[in-house]
Amino acid sequence: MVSKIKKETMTQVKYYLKNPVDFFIKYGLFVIFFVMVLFFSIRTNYFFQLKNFKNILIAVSVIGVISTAMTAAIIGRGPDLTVGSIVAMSGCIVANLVLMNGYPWYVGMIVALLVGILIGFLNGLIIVKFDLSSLIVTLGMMNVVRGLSFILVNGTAVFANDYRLLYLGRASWLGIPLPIIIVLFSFALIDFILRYTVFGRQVFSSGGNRVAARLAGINVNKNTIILFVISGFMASVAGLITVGIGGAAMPYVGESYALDAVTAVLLGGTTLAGGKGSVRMTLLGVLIIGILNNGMTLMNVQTYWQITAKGAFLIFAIILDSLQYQRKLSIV
Amino acid sequence: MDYALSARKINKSFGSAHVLRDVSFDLKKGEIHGLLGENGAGKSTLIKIMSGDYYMDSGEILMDGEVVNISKPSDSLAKGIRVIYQEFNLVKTLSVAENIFIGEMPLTKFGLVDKKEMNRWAEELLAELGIEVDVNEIVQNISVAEQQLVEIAKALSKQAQILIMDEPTAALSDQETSKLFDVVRGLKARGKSVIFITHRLSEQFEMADRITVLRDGQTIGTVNSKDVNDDDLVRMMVGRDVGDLYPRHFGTPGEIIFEAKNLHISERVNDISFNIRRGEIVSFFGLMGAGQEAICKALIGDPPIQSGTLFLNGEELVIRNLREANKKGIGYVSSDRKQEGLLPLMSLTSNITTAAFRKLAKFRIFTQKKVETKVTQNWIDRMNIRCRSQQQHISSLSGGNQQKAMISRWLSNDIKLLILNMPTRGVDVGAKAEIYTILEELANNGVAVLVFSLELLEVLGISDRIYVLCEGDITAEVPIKEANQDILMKHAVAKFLHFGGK
Repeated sequence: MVSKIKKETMTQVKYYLKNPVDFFIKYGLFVIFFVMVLFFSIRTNYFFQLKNFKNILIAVSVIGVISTAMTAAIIGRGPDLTVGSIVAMSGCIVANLVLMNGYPWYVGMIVALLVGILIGFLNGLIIVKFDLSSLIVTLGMMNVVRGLSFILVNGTAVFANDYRLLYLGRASWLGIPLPIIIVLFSFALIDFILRYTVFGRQVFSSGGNRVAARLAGINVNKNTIILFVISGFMASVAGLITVGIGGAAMPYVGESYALDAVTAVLLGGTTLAGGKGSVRMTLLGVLIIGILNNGMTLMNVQTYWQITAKGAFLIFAIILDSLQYQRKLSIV
Repeated sequence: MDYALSARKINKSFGSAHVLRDVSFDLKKGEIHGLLGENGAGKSTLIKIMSGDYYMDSGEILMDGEVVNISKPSDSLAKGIRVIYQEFNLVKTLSVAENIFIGEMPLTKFGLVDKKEMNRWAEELLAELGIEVDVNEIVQNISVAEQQLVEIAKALSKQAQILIMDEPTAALSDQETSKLFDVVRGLKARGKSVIFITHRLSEQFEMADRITVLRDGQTIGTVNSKDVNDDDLVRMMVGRDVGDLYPRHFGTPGEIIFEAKNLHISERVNDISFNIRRGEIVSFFGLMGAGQEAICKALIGDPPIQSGTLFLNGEELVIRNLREANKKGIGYVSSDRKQEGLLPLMSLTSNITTAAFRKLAKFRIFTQKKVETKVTQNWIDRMNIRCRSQQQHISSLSGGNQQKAMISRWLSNDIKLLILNMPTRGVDVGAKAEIYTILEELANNGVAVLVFSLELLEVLGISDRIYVLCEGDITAEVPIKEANQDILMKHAVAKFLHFGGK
């Protein structure tokens, strides 16, 4: 048995030595990850330290939470571009209710989460009822929600002077910052749902071939709505974390989050066409984006370059996705 | 003599899979050459090498006695090789003429498309081929058979010497097929060479001058079609005698288990009544578009019947939507495997268990890999699905094995009624026989098996009773003992005859 496994590994190694492109398509993300860690460790003194790793994780926590649901949405139907706006709106709802109108802190938070769910539900409903591309529907909703966020706080940032509103972003449990706990929990949760529940399996089926899944008795429409509800909920959780980390509700926050999350998801090998992907690999994608931002900041590279780099990564990720797709289908 | 095309010792591997081994064959000028082999025998790969989609690992291709290098599709096109695939490459929103001349439309002196000139060319070309289609018609409005003919016209609009046709008759009715054959014979008469691929042996005998058989990526031999019979070819293809292709023995059917009374489905398809007895396989035969699709979809509630009643084991069955059909145990194997059946990027396991996820799950929520693996393995063994592993992508299996997986999908879900629309479309002979055996087993186990088919021989081979459809009506109910090709065909065109032929 052992020798058989060994033999199979050897044939695989031989195959990849002959076909390095295939190797890169399959394991490229790991290569990039280690090269980046190595590069920044050598070039900066501060990078390879526990404290910095903690910073990276906190910095990616918001994107991370969003990316979990984004992975599921892309596998099952398509990307949800509204999430960045929901992050902003969630904070603005808290600001409006708690800071501007004196409601208790928990009312603000609960309403924020409910609104996130509602927006997700609306997205899902519109996509399903009119059989539309999620890309366009959520793009429109992105602006709807963004506008409402500005209206809620009269267009300016509101400082959160209530420590309870900052708790999610700043507290630590057992020395671990709460955002890190939340992001890891989100990953574990969505990973579990996708891999070990009927709903998760149905999401893959629906993404792979919507018509076939429907004919096999799967309620594709219901599942799609649930996916966008989860996405809206996760985005509003991320919004609450953002208030905590930033110390204020900012209506303009998170404009790049949706694309960052999509980048992370695609880097992680999830197919834009749907039906294939994994949340664990998305985590790696998220870390790569975090390390990129962090490392470039440590090297005193202008922020603008980080935006450019992320864009390049997105293009790189879809090229990889496309190559993978072509290879898979060409092996008859 | 110089051959139009010769393949010499062609080898091709994908990863560790050696798909073609030293394959050789010769195509004479002005010859229709049949290519035959089970799915997975290497026919598609061989075609793709000739069309430039793949590049061979070793071997050579000669045209007119000279070695040619075909490394990309444009090489192949430049050499006059045209492939017509099962899936058409037509732009459905453009007109027939536009499709034929897509990529090289005639221009006016201002650089705009010269529509008049283009239509004239298209009309000439179609007339020459004996094809009657309006060149102004939008492609999505013409029948599948006509689309096929347009595809041929398109291939011939550029200087074509060799035409490769991959399962050209898969989606055609017998009438349409004979029309296609006339066109192909016309090509032969004009000195073109045709490579003709089909699983239907009768068509090979009708069309091919010579037939080359492939098995497991090797050339088994080339024979003159006059010198051989069905059994010879089947033996060459499968390397053994398949016995009777249609294994059915006729038992005595029991009580009625499924019945439909006065189904009103659409304007065109209404007042449909039929029944199935225990242990019986019932077929619906009709030409393409006789209402098969509408009846299939209505039985699974997509959309539901407008009026009428269904009975299962004597009890009334109400099917309002797909999920209800699924819950009540109605399975549907679509005629369009690729669009409506396969989950392309997913494993065999996922494809087989997808209709039964909930049933196989713990508390109906948490999936259990062990159970799914066990169920899948059970079907792989029982259905004789040939695969490397359960995790293999469904797309990389042959048509027959894919189809067995599609049937298994329903069987892991305790079905009472299994509807199969063209169950052996794109399936090779060996797998066909296996699928028929499976259907018979199901019927014997009390599943109501309802087969919709366009193939006369299939219908005659597997059914106990046949309903004939024409233009949305059941024109006849024929017990197998009284059925033959003539009777079925007569009823299948009954309505056309009535109106003086169409």
